[in-house]
Amino acid sequence: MASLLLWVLIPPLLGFIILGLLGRTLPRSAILTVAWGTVALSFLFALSAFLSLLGVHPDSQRVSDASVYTWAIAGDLQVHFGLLLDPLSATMLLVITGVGLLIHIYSAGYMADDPGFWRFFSYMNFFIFAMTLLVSADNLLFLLVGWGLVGLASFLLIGFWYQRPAATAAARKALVINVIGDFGLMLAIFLLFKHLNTVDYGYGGPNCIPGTSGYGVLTAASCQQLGSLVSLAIPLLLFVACAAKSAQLPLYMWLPDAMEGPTPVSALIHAATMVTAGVYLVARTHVLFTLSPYALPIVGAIGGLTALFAATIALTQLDIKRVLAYSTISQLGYMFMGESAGSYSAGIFHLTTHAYFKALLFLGAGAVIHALGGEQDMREMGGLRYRMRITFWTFLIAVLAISGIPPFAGFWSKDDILGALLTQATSVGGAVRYLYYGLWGLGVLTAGLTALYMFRLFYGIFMGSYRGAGPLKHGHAGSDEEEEEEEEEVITAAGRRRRGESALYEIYEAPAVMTVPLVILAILSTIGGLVGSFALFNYSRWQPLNTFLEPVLGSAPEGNLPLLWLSTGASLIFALLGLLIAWRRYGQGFVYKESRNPFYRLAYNKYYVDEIGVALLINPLLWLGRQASALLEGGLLDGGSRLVGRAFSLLSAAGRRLQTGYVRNYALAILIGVVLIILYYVVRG
Amino acid sequence: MFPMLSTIIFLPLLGGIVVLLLPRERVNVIRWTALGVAWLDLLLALGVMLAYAQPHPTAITVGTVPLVVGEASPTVASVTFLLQEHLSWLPALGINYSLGVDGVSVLLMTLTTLLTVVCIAASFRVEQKLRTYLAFMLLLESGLLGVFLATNLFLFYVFWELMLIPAYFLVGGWGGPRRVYAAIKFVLYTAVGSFLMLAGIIALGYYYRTGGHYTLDLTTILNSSTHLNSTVQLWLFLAFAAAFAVKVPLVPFHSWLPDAYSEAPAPVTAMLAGAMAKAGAYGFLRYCLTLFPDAAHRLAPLISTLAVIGILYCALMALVQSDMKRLLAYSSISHLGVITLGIFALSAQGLASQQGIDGAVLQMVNHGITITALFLIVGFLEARTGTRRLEDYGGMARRLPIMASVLMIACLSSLGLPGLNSFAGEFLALLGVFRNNAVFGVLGTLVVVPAAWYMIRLVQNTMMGVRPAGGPVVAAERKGGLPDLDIGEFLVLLPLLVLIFYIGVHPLPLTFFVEH
Amino acid sequence: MTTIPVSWYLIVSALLFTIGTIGVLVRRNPLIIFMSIELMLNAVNLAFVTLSSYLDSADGQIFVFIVLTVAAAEVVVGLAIIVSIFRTRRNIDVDEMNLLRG
Repeated sequence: MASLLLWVLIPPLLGFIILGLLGRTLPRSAILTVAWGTVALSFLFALSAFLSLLGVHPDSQRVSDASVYTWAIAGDLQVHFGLLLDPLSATMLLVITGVGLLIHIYSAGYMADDPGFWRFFSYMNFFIFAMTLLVSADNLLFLLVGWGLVGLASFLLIGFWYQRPAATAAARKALVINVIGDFGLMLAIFLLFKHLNTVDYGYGGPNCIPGTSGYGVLTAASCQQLGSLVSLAIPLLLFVACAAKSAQLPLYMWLPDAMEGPTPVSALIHAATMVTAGVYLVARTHVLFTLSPYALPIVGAIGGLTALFAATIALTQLDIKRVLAYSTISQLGYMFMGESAGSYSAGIFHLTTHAYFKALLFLGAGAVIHALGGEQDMREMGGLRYRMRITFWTFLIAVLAISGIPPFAGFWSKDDILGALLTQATSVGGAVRYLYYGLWGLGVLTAGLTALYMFRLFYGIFMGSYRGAGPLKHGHAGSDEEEEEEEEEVITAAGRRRRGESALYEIYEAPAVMTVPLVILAILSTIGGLVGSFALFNYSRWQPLNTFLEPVLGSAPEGNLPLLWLSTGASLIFALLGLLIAWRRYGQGFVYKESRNPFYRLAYNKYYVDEIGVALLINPLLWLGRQASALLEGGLLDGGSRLVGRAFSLLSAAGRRLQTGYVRNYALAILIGVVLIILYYVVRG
Repeated sequence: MFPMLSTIIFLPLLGGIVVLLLPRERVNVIRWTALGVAWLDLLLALGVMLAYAQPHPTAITVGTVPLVVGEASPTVASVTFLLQEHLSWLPALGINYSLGVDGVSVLLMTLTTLLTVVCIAASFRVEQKLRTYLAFMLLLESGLLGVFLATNLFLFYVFWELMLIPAYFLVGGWGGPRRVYAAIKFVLYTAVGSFLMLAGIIALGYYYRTGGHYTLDLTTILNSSTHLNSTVQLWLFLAFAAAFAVKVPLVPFHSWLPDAYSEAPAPVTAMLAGAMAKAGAYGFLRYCLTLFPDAAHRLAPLISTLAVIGILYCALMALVQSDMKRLLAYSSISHLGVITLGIFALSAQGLASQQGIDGAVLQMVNHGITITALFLIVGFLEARTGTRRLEDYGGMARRLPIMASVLMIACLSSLGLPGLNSFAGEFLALLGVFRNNAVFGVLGTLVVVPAAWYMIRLVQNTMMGVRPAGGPVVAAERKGGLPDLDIGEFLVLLPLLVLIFYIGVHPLPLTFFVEH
Repeated sequence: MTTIPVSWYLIVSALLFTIGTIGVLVRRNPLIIFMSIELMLNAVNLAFVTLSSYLDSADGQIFVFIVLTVAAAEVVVGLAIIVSIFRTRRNIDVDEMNLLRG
């Protein structure tokens, strides 16, 4: 069964190779056939894998592991490339290939004018391959391979318009920060191997039930033998990787900058799939996180702080993609909070719904940016509801979903997380209790902030009257292969001739190839929450996702009803409050006022984290490097070896005097020597 | 039996002489003869490699020799090499002509022959004193192959010095403006190290003498029951390590390297970095570790500390270089630190780590492939524009898309991207290190962060970003002298690229060689 | 007839050798130097012959023949060099022959 997953992996890889090698010469239609076809195939195979899993009963048998080939054998280390099909990987694969396919379709419209069309799709196919590899690997080493490759895909796509300095800088930042994560993951694997002698998850045979017994890093039995320090170090190192990939404090800085990439990339990689890899990793390795009493609370605390921190920044941003980026960071924090409460399925649930509505938000934003010719500043928008009806309605659905307004998808998953947090707070003892209460409070507060900044964004783009000057003439699509990049500014200035209503009529709704994915995602954002649980209504028979994931993730703690309602009520009130404030302030359209409020300035400037990082970490490091290069390398070592050389030449200059060049001097010396030697023997007798 | 290994070693030497005898004007004949000889040698080496992969009587390789402290010699019954050749030379002094292969030397031999083919093919642009240049390249190959295949310590020393001679002339004769300085520095550093090793070899033969005869044959020594006391081991270890530490190099004996690598012509640098640096690591593995297990155990923390310092310090140096070749030179030191660290990943009992050694050997091969590709690409760029300064470049990907892709792949390989070759080696080596010493493991692994940074800096500053407004690159472009990789250059790089992918996806065959 | 003691021969040999050595050291004309070298060689020969007869062994005599042959060959080569130097430089003062001096 798991060998089906090979067919999920191969098509996008083939697509990447074909497009990468031949893409330049292929016509657009052929490129699209390859790019869409491979991802569609991949999706179909993922779907059939999913269905084949559903056909297996009982639920606990829903696991299948297929070894493809042996990667390396080194001493007692054996690494096989194996594919694991279980409910968790099946869910992830469906989300990745499904949302991936929609975004591939959308991109055909968005990137239509870009000279790097083929390059874009080849990278996108590569990403799908890497991401599916990440979630279907059956051991940590190949997870790491997928982990690194998605980082590469992200790097390539952020820097897609490689002639823009901002894009290359953002790509570099993303890669380097992600490598810090890889570093953590590598160390975690080392530690696990050191103590457990394997890197396999340990879902060995068809009858091997996850989390029961057997040989593998994720089997509870073998993990019991880890010492307390190691059992804390492993999850924390894993979480370093998660924080880097999923943009949590303090490694989140790359994600806002990653918005330099084309918008479909932001939707696919930096919202729906890749950034959720950390959430997947925690769920996948949850056995390790439960070994130490401190691991999950730390994860929760970081997740909660990140959620609030990013939400406050999102409140102040003017670039619509940046708002969405900070919102993504904040929602990822939410997912980690859910997982920290032991409800891993809540985290995965939010991951899937978030994939729908955040992809939809980004694609909607992309449609707007596309229509405005690359304009991303909210101050230059407004009133677009008249011209972009489909985008408007689908965007509204996504905003409602992310704000947690019932019955949209986000409500159910967010509610699940908050309920789990409150349940955890009331059920655990000790000081950790207060942490979970605090986290719940943070979650509720962030829910309100989310509604506030999302509606601020929504009003800013679609409501009020149009404030811009029509679409920028020069396309958003970076003048990638065009000679005269400098002229962009000139044309932009010329483009801003008229403002207001007349300019509005130069704006057109996106083509169908872009709006159809929007509509599909809108449907998913509306009903996608229904796979969650209805525990709220005391109805436990319908919770398909939880039941499906239970063999892998275990069952979440059961909450009691009044508590769940309390949680739901609080978050709903905060969400509505946020909505209300946004409506009061921005209902008539977004007006930008320069605010002198220091807190506002702080959040607007992203708490100066980037600047502080550069000043405290990067600049000193580079300064040190330059000094060492000049003093140690140039002065001490090179100078030192010169000095030794100089000393020897001085010595030989002295010795050279002896070499007169007259043979008879040498002969005399020989004679004297011979006489001395003879005398020595004569005297000695 | 046909002396296969001698043929492999001396074929390039003969080829070099033939090249010298060819008429000066027949430039193409000269080039193709040299390339043909290198190819033939590669084919022979591949043949040996295939033969080695067949099931064979237990050849016990370095990696599997358990190094047990305080016991007389390895506990394994006998240490043997395959395809042994043995001729008496000066038996009273223990000096014999004896060759042999095990898994490690098979890999390094094949790597050397492959890199020679690649580097000679990449030298087709060389005009000046072509015959001498190619003859030296082939001589260098002979010396390197001899180093990897010799199983007599004196013979090893002879080849060790033999490879220095062509390297000196190649750096000093065909290099950049500061070539003479670089070549002299290179020779002095390495010579000082190797003389200490010679003293060590003589002492070793003395200590292992049997019936008044010195013994320098590796198999005899490893199978002998004599056990050196630990003080003697310590001094001999240090004498040998002096030569290897300079060649690898370990910080602080690396000062010759950035100069030599940046002044030598690109194919020569590629040979030095790709193949010759491995001779040092090979020496550590083959001689220091197996001959002096007690001393290795005692000094492993010292060597590992130097390696870690080198890894991180040179990564930092690479980060601030503006000369591309110097950047690669420092990155090379940094990566070789990981190899050294893997070799000296000894457990508390003094046992070598199998992952460490597998990873180190794998990484020797990988680094040879990757760094060669990188130096050659930089060489191709320099040949077009005449500059190696990063600041002079920018946005070249538009003009040179194929070269940009190839450079990108090589850089990704170098920074250890999972799925490409270096990852496999680094992962195994660092895993071995971590298992036996967590501190060195963590510090060694930390290098991935600066490595990613400086490699990406190399790609981005040349191929991406804004094209420079003026300077040598634009001047070259105006003159039409900025074509993309031509088919010849691409074919030169192609085998390296294929290996970068293949070893990354499937390193099993290589670890098989190390362990069998 | 009383035989002449061996030491007398050896003293003559030592004297001849010393004269030859002094000649090599103080003279600048290569011809004279050559003659002095011959003198030294013959001093050695004398010692060989003496000791050969004294020890009743033929080895010394054989050595004398080898020395004579080598000396002849050396003189041939040496004179040839001197002649060729004289032809090019019109001067055979050894102190002036310093072209190889670094």
